[in-house]
Amino acid sequence: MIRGDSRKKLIPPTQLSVKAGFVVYSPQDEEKKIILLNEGELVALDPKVNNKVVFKIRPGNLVGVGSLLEREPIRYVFQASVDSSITVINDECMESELKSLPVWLLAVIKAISARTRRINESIRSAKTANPLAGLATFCKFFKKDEFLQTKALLQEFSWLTKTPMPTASEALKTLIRRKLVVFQGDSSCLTIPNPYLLGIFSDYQKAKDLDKPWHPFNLTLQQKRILVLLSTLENGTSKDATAWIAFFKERNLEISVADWLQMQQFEWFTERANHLLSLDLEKISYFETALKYEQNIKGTVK
Amino acid sequence: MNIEEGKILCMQGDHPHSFYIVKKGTLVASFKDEQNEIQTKNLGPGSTFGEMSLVEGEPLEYTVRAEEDCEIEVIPQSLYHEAMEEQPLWMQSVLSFLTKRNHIAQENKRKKEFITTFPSLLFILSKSSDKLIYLKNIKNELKNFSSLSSLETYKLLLILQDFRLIRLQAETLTIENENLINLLYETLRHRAIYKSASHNILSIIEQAILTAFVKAAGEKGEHQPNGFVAVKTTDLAAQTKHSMHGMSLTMRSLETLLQKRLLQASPETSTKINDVAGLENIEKFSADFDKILNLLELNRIYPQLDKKLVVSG
Repeated sequence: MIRGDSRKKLIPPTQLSVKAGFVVYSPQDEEKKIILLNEGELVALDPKVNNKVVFKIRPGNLVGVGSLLEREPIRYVFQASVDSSITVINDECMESELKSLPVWLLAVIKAISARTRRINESIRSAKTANPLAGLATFCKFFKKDEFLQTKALLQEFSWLTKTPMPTASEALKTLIRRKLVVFQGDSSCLTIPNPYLLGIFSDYQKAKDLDKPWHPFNLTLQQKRILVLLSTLENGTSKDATAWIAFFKERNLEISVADWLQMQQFEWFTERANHLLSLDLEKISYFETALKYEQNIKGTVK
Repeated sequence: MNIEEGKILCMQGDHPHSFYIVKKGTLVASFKDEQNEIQTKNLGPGSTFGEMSLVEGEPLEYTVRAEEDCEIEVIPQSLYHEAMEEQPLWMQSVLSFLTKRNHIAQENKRKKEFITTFPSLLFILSKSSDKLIYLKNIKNELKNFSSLSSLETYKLLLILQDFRLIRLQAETLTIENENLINLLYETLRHRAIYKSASHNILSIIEQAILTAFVKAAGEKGEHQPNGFVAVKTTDLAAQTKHSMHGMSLTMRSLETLLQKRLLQASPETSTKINDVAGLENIEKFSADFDKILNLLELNRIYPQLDKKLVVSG
């Protein structure tokens, strides 16, 4: 076990007695420090609101931890409201203390700080990891060929998802290039020719983000032929697995058990009672639409 | 300690009260996120985890499995307490401050996610073409806008149910008032984007007159072919006086309602106060009755909304 250094090199914190009214820490202070209140009382004053008292600090509490450890700016002026006794821990003191800690304890402190930083960053960051998929999803809710104001649409998307406007604009340009969204006249208005396709595009983007194969673009030739055949049937047509395989065979579309098992993942059929598999034409249409607009979805459309 | 390839070191939800430092090899941490989806991340040499388990005794967030033979340093809570006793008091205060700050950040994140997801939920509902929607579908669509958990999403839906905008069933919800959902969404959108109150938010006087209009229309209103309901000026004035504790109906108090075309005067009159003839020249007022009812309901709900979101969140 690594135990850290001897405590001989420690720089001790400074003990101070301060009179009422003494400012112990203010946003103007260049030196970063932690103030531990031993006795008395401190008040936090907001300099932006005529030094209004925001809160009081009681003995045993600290101020300036974020400022010293995370270099965060301090917002308030901390002033002694009565004669008080404080401990001041400055950079050198903290550094010498941290150096004396066991390595693992230092790692614990760093891990907790990093964790808080990550949470705070995630509060500020956009809600959609992939703005392109996010904007596509958002656009799919609008009616086909409805005239929409470009700026208003982007503002609304940005508000709902906290995506910065420049990022949202870039995502829109990508949708325009793929002809999934069309500008009308100048770029102040736009229409969505096929909102359903935007939903499919969003799914494709998400699969790409997860590095997962996206079924519609991974069909074998035989599976594509079966897709076409299934699209001619009535929704809800039901057979058991053996009957479906035989049905394909009768139409010269012989498939292996492995092929059949793979097709189960496509969700073309939903399971019903008595082991019956019922055809889901909505899912078939999803695959067909994806294949029809493959170039738009992949971004190879001219 | 050494851990063989494929072995599980700890499970999500365990309370090992320990901190782990990866010395050699790679482990895979997998965890279910707020939406029950499995996420993974690799933990290579130098990676650490379990800090909140060590300091606060919190359950582990990951299930950790060795991807290859690994060497791990495990710090038990007893060693942590022993080490902290050797530290100056202020260092213990610093650590306690850091953990407290972490809890505050987590709580802030959860609350903020809850509040900011509300408009997204309204957006999805306002765009729905069906009145009966599966909760599963709503949650799936909402995933595109938010990482709110299913439980928290349900809490948001309960708020909408309290406002009688939807009705929740076991696996579905029914939209009770789609126009009001739209109005509420548009009002929130306007506030967020234009940083000002939407014209749907009415003054107290406007609300009082429209409430009087609704009452008068209920008692003596005439249905018009365009779907509007008309109320005689004398009836509206009497009802206003009754509802507004003796206050008289004047053209000045009606001005903004006429400008917003929420009320229409017959015979039609200018909406500029200086141009208008007196109230005695107007025979009746008409309005889209459903729209007025929705606006009044919006103005009842809206002031309660922020508080309700904060309290429920």
